Amino acid sequence: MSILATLIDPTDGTALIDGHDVRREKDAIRQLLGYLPQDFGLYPVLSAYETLDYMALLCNILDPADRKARIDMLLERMNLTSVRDRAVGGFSGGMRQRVGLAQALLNSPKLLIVDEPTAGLDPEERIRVRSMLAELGGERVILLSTHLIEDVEAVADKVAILHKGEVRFVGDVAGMLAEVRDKVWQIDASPEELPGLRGKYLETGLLREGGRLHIRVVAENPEGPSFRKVEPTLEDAYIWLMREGKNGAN
Amino acid sequence: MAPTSGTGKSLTSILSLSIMEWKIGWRTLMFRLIVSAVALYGFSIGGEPGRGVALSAYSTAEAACLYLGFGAIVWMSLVAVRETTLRTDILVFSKPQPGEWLALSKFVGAYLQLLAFLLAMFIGSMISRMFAGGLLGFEAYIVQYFRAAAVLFFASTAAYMLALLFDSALAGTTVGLYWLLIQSGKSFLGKFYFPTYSQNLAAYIPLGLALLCATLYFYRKSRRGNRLPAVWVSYGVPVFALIAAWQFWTVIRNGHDPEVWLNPAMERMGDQDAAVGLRAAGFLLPDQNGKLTGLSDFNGKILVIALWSPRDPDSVMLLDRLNEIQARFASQGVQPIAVTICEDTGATATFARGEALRYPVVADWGTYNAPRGTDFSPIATAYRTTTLPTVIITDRRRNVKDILSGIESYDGAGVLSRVQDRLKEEPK
Repeated sequence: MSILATLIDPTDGTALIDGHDVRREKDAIRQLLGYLPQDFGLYPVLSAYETLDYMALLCNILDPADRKARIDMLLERMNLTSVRDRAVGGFSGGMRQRVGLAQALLNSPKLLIVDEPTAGLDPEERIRVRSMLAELGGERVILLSTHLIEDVEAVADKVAILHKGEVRFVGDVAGMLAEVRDKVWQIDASPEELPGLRGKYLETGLLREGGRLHIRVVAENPEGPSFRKVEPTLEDAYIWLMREGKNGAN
Repeated sequence: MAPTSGTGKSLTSILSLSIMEWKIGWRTLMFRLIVSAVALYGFSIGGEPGRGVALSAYSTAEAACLYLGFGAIVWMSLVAVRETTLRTDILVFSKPQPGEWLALSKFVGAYLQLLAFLLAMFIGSMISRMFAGGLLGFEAYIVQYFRAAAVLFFASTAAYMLALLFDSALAGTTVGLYWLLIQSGKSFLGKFYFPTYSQNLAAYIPLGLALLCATLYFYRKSRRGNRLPAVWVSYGVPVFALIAAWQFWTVIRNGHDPEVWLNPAMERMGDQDAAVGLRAAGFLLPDQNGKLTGLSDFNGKILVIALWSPRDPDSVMLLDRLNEIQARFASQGVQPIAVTICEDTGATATFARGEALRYPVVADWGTYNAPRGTDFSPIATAYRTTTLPTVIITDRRRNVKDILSGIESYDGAGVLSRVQDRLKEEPK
């Protein structure tokens, strides 16, 4: 993400954004890029409006009227208008994230890179940020990096799964689900059987009901009558695609 | 409307960003605390005696160069690493603004904050002086404010460069060691190493500009990709470095005394010997307006030659006394002349204007920085002076008749009565 956002140079290989090389044509890329990093700071003494004003200046939006119009629009859109004059130092995680999203949109970017935008947020804020991203998706390309499957379900048209630098999957959400179709099972087992099953199959969920356990696994060739086929979810697919061992067991 | 030309855009962008930088610093509690502290300090030192404001202005500037010099080094070091500390660097550097403008506007904003600290100190000093005796000679404050501002500029550029390029506040604060060294007052450091002397600022301002351009040139160089650095940044480094080098060379070549370099015979000034009964030791030195002045300009007059130091409050009282002599006896052929024994040649003009002096005040270029100014001044040596202030009174043929030192030179009726005695013996 940092390489695409032109913050660090690739040690090897290359990447092009809209035909521009990330190593050489950094200025051109920054013009068409909006970036919301996972971990970022704000100037605690500046208000939300001033923060965006400063960031707009960094985007070379020099006409004050143009800056004001863009900032007002984004504050409204991010639901920050009521706190526009409050210092961002006192903002909650969700509010900070919305300021971060607003600053990434100041230059109406063709490509918006968002890195773990919902990490560390409470459920309400998570839904709010996710909805905003879903809304923005129709207008531009969004590159969203996340570990939260709900984010993908909510916003992604196309998904790529990376594991230790290796691309494990590229396709849409339906294609991702197809990867585990007819491979997701639920097993009713006693607590004593759990260690044995865990060693054998890739577990994607566990539910306790009375003294029994319902274990959810992804497996190509299950053995035994207690296996009940269930509908796959994206989480099943994600864990399956990220698996280390060939048979699915980690 | 937004400007359309490249230069106009850059200037607007730097100006707008600098204002924002100013806001970021101004809003902090630290900024307000420092402003209050330096204003109080200025108030505590500003009420220095004197007819005008000269000593107050000069002392304030000296204190500013020392304490705010350290302050500037720390402040600039902290500002330089602010983005890394606050983790705002990721947001800032993913934006299209060129790194040169980012670093420059940050410097300008922070330097404006330092100028505000300096202003607070001077205002505190002025208020104190106002209560102590009025603000006659106010322009001395302006001259000394700009001198201190130039010194802080150099300290700022050096600290900013190290802190920014090494991304470490500690690296920036190492400039503080240099500041500590120059305050130790060793004579060998007194020539061109000392940025607080007015005559050295002609070298330290371009040196500061060269450091600033070098900072902008090297700062996050890889962030530019295939874009070349701004032209003035690229050329600024060698151009300003050359100007600074030339100025430093001039100071070294002149041995801190351009008059002697221009006229080697003047080296003989310190070889003279003047005592009561002998002929007054001659000199040729620039006065407050830069005009070379010597004793031969005042042939046939009774001369009252005062050797004084701007660091010495008693000397300022002597300058007042000379003003009085000028007012009362000039018409009878009495000529006061003050010789400034000080490493900083800028002090002469400040005191002449600040104290509204109407007689020539000459700067003794030969004074080197030493624990006591009298140790190395050729004029002080010629007049066998070990205590400042000292007054030498001559007859109309330039023979020394009286030498008064210390308190008797300015307090009581000592000098006045000797001048009156001279006039009785040699009326006009």
